Amino acid sequence: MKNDHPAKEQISAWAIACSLSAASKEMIEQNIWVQCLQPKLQGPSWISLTKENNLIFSNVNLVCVAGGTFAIPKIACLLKKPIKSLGALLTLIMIRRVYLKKKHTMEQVRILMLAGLETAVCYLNFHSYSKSIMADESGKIDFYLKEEFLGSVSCSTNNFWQTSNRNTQEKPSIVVTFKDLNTAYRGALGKIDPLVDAAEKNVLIRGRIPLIEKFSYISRLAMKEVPIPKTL
Amino acid sequence: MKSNSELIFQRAKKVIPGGIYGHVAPAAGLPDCFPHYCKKASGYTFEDVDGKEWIDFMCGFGAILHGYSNVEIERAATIQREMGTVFNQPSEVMVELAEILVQKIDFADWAVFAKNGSDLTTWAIRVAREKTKRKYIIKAKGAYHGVDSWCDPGLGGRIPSDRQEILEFNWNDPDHLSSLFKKFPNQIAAVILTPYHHPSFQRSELPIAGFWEKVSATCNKEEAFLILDDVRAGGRLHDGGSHRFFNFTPDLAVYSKGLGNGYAISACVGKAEHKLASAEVFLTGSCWNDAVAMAAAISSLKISEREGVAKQVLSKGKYFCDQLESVAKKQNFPLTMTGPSSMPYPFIEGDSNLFKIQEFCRLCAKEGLYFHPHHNWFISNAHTFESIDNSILKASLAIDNLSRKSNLV
Ligand SMILES: Cc1ncc(COP(=O)(O)O)c(C=O)c1O
Repeated sequence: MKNDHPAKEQISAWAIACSLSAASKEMIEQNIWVQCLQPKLQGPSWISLTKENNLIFSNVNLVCVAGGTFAIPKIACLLKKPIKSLGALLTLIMIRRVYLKKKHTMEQVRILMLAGLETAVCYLNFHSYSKSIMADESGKIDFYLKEEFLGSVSCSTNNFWQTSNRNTQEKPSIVVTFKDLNTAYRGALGKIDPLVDAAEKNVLIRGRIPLIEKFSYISRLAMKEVPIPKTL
Repeated sequence: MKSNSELIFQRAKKVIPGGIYGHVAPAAGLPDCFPHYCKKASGYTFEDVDGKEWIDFMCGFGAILHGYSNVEIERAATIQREMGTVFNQPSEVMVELAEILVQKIDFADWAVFAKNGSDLTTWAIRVAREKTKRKYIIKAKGAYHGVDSWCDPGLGGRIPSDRQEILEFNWNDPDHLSSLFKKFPNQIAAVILTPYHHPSFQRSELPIAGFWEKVSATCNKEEAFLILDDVRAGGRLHDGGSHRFFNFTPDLAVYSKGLGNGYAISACVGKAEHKLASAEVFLTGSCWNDAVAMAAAISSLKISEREGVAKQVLSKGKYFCDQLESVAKKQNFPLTMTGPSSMPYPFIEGDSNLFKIQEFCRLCAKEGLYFHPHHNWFISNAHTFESIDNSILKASLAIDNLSRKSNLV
């Protein structure tokens, strides 16, 4: 995904594809049977969710899929390898179920957190206004639910932001700690109120504050533009 | 059980976006034991709504220069309040206040008034644009000049054209400044600067030798305004304005924080040659002729002059900074107080991500010290040497506790 550069009008669809991919990878880590989604751009109007190009959506239809509306993928590709395509489609259904699960669990929150961070990272890397906001920033932001590591985003030297589900030795610039599952769930969906939740100590933030202020502004912006299944 | 602070916040969040907003919001990175609401304040202390007493080192983020509820200023305000506050026409105190400023500030030939620093930093750049008929404004990167869209540090509500005519240079780099004049010849209306660099989240930087000379010379040569934003430092470095402390002369200067000792007032003063241009730029506000705030400002300025308050707060601040650095050093805690001593910014070596200063301020808060981890602190003239000694003892306890925590990131 790193070398793909979405067209301007494709950014929200590409963010959806990347976040679905992040969710599928974390589900595989958790031994949930799903197919690993590996999105690829197919020109400015289409995105494949798999390496083998057997599940391709138009940008518009991918946005519909993410919002929970029925949308048709490119039929010709679907028919080439129907079993594989079916696996990818089932993966989408499984991811949707994770979003809709009412009783929050650590596993659910971890999947959604990585998916949410991937959405934000896509904006950090490709959305020109977001890029301009982050122009002078670098570092690493770690997200925790109490003591449990959820995921991180970091910026490598070439100004490229990425997510990780591994807690590395690298020192963070910011540590964000959610008080409980419900807050972490809201955090993953971009539904944190930066003022109220900080004041009520639902989210504890330590470290280089200007970095998290910019990051969270961009992630709220991304979450507003990128639909997720209607949950809250 | 919820504290009063928390209970009030529960009400606030229903009717106020974010509950508390702006620089006083109990936002990210602040000590979690800071109160959300204050009840009363006197001298150098304040009491929160849960009855806890704090030794204050923020002074209403600088608005309090002579201490909270200063008797003399309150008396002046009360006398005026009994006569009225806002009328159809300005009151005589406005003229008296302008006369005092013109007499006190060496380059000033006139003064105008508003309520906030932002009102007049924005107005001042418009005066420069009016006079020069040029559009660009230069500011220092990271400097705060208020809430207006040309300069606010927030991210929301911006459109690209907001900052199209705002250029930035690195503080203490006059060559960088000159290069902007070269790049935009005859197009720069003004350079607006604070007397020294006091960004949030970063150590303060005093001007290097020759900085102000070079900046003044460049502005002179290029016929651009030099606007001094003395909103934060005014009254804490020199009673005649901070330009006297650093020895330069601006075209316009804006004051606010210390001016009314907590009463909402700001002033812009300027040279005679800019008086006509200034009259061309519309200036008014619903309560800007507030006579009570003006009476408070007159009283505050008189005290500053009579008691040499700028010198006093500098010397109390020096005592405070020296003592704090010295106990920190003894405890192997690499704390340096940066910037002028009357408004020092705490900086910990090797703490670029601010974890240590945040924890230090949290532990100090537990001892009843109101130290801000990301903003410069303020010394008022109500601080006594005894109160400073007492605070140093408390800070030393906090450093002790901090040194027992080895797991700070
Ligand atoms: C240097 C400086 N300029 C301008 C302002 C804006 O003043 P006000 O908050 O009164 O609008 C401030 C406020 O903190 C300031 O510190």
